[in-house]
Amino acid sequence: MRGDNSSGEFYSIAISNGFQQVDSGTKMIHLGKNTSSRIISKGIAAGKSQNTYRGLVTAHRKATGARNFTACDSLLIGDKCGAHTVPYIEAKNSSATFEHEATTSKISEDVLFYCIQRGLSQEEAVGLVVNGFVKDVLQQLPMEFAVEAQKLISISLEGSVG
Amino acid sequence: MNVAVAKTGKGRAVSDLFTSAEGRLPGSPGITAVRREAFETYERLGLPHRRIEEWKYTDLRALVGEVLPLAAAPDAAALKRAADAVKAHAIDGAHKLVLVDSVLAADLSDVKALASEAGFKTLRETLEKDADLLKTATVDAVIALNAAMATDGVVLSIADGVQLSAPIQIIHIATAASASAFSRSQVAVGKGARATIVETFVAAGASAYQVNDAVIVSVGDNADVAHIRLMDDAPDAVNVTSHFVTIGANVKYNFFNMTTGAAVSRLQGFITLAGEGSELSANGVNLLQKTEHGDTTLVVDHAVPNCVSREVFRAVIDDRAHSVFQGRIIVRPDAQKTDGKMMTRALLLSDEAEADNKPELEIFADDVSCGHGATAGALDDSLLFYLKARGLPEKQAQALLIQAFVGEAIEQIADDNLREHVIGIAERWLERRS
Amino acid sequence: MALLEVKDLQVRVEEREILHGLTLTVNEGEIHAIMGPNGSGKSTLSHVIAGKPGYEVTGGQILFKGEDLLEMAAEERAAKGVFLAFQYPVEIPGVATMNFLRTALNAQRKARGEEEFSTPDFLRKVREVSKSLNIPQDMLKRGVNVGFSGGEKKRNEVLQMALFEPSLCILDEMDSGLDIDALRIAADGVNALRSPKRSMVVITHYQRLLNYIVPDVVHVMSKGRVVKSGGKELALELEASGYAQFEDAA
Repeated sequence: MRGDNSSGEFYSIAISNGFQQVDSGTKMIHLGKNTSSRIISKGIAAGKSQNTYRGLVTAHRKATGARNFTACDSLLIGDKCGAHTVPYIEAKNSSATFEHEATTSKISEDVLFYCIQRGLSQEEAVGLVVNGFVKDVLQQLPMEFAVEAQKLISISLEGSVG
Repeated sequence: MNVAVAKTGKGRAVSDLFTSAEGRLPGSPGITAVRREAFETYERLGLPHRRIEEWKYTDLRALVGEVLPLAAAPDAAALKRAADAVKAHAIDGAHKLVLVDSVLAADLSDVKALASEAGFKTLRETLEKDADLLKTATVDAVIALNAAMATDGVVLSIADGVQLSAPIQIIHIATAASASAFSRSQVAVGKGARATIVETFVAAGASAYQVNDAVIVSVGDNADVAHIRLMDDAPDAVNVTSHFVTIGANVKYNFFNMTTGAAVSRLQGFITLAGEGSELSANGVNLLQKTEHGDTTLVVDHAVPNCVSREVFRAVIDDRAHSVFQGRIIVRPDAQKTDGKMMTRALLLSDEAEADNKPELEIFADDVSCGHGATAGALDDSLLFYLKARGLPEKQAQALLIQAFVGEAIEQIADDNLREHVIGIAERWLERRS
Repeated sequence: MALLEVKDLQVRVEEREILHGLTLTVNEGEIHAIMGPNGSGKSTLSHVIAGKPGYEVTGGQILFKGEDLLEMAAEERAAKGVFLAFQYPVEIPGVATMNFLRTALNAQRKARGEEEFSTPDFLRKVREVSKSLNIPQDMLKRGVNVGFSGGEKKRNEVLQMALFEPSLCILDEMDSGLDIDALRIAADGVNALRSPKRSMVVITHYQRLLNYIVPDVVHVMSKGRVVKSGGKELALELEASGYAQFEDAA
């Protein structure tokens, strides 16, 4: 973000399954004044995969009033996979405001059972939870893409449970 | 062995560093071989620089350049200065162990009083028989250099079930200018024991010196340990310290680090939760001004299930200072039910201050609850205005908010007396500022 | 005698003029109410009197006890006796209320060249005042306003008012977010502080508050000016007919 008052947004969903190793991320470099950026990253690891988020947020000296919010959340499906977050957060002037949050969770057995008891298959239940997990990213997409993305997610996760 | 083979001008000087010191380093001939090997490792790696991922933000090649020659043994005048420094920095009631330029000063230490509660030897004595203390699971250039050059340190063992009546305070005093000191200590806490260990780093008239310290801690099952490190070295000094902590089952380990001095400093802690049901609380405060560079790097390794780790870190950065916090939480494949949380916040008081945060999660188990948060920013204008509208001058309003900000980390210290001692150091830093 | 004189005050916030020549005189011991619709500049006036950064005074002046208030830093104004009860009192985590009260009180006394309060005197005073305001002691141990309800925050403002004994109290929308019971407690606290030596400026959108804190003078603000002044009956008139008539007048 070189110009003043510019803003950047990055939304990502990274899904890894099988033996995949996925490394995704972004760089937000604040150079201009009053620039803002937002990163929402959702990593879903299933099977024996490794899912890594790597991100750099930096505000240079002259980038006064720079703001960033980053949330990187990981969801683990199964106990053979790994999720990693490696954020680099560099504030080089006092008026930069950076917030970063990361959480890691798994699909709770209780939630799955609740869904299954209500008549969903195991995979449908997982899909439901995953879709809830990635909802705030999909909301950023136009409707037709969002529908497409949801389908892609369910294909990517086929065979991840059971 | 090619220790003496120099490839560059700097390489030559580095080798001299070891050969000129070798005669003064304690240990049996067998141990000398271990030291030489460690030094070769250091030589091969060289001082860490920014292309080494773990040292990305603390480029010792650029910040420090070279390792100074080993400090000579302190003379009477230096010991006198050290004695005054001990008086100024001792914690009431603590059993003191004083290292002057990394050599134990028995006259300034409470060795006798301590003997009734804890086993004590110097590193010097220990190395006559046993080289194990020079070996650690994690090795980087500064750790290898410490193994090669360590002159002395304290080797403490607290037997099973012993409840220490008073904190043990290890006071590191620098008296030699433009020299380096290497210390290495061990603290072994037995099962069900309770201990408080405080480490204090200060100068007594010395400037432009370098400290390289290593501490190896093992904590037995059901023990309760408070470990506090207070680094207030001279403003032009360098302090690089490595901690290796292994924690057993059902342990409470409460660690706190405060950095208020040194031109360049790094504390790197490698903490392994190796027994189930333990609770780790690892906290720290960096208070930096002028052009100081302070780095706190903590690697918390959940190797077993059912442990809790909490990290609260605060940095206050003024002028052109640079604070670094790197916190990595590793959850091993079997470490289910891990609960790890880390919160790091930086407060920038000047437009030229810099805060770098790298909070990492490395998770290989699925039934875990892990998270981290990181923020960086300036003092909140609306809070400042509220305080000023109530009559507080700018500096006083700032001081109140800074104290509250670092208080969130300091309040993790359970002992009232020690907490007050730490708050006192923070207050003195704030006074230096205004 | 005039305590506060605002003369032809013009104020801008980021290029936009909010107050266009506002004039107001508050005499010692008087209670003035300033009413007006949202955006009429009421809160701007209170912020400028207290010295909040971000406002540019482009014309006019403010005299307090004959001195130029605009020349003073916010903390000097506080020490001189200007007290702003905030519409939204901030939360200050980690700063215990008790510690904050003592630090602020002693900073003001020091600035006035008075002796600092001794701890027992201070504690006695705080206990006395907090009891009359129904503020429990454990609330004073918590961080300033942290986790306080809306009513508790406002009572904490009144507590400070009682403790610091200012000569001018500006109450900015004290009734916002309060139910009737909370409002009554806060207003009783304010009324207890009425004195011939103390003036108050009560800023409010609604007439409701003025049933509890009865003003001597009511001003109506619209579009950055005082458009009408009168006795307390003016507030009732407004309640009945609304602000629209004044918006046209401005």
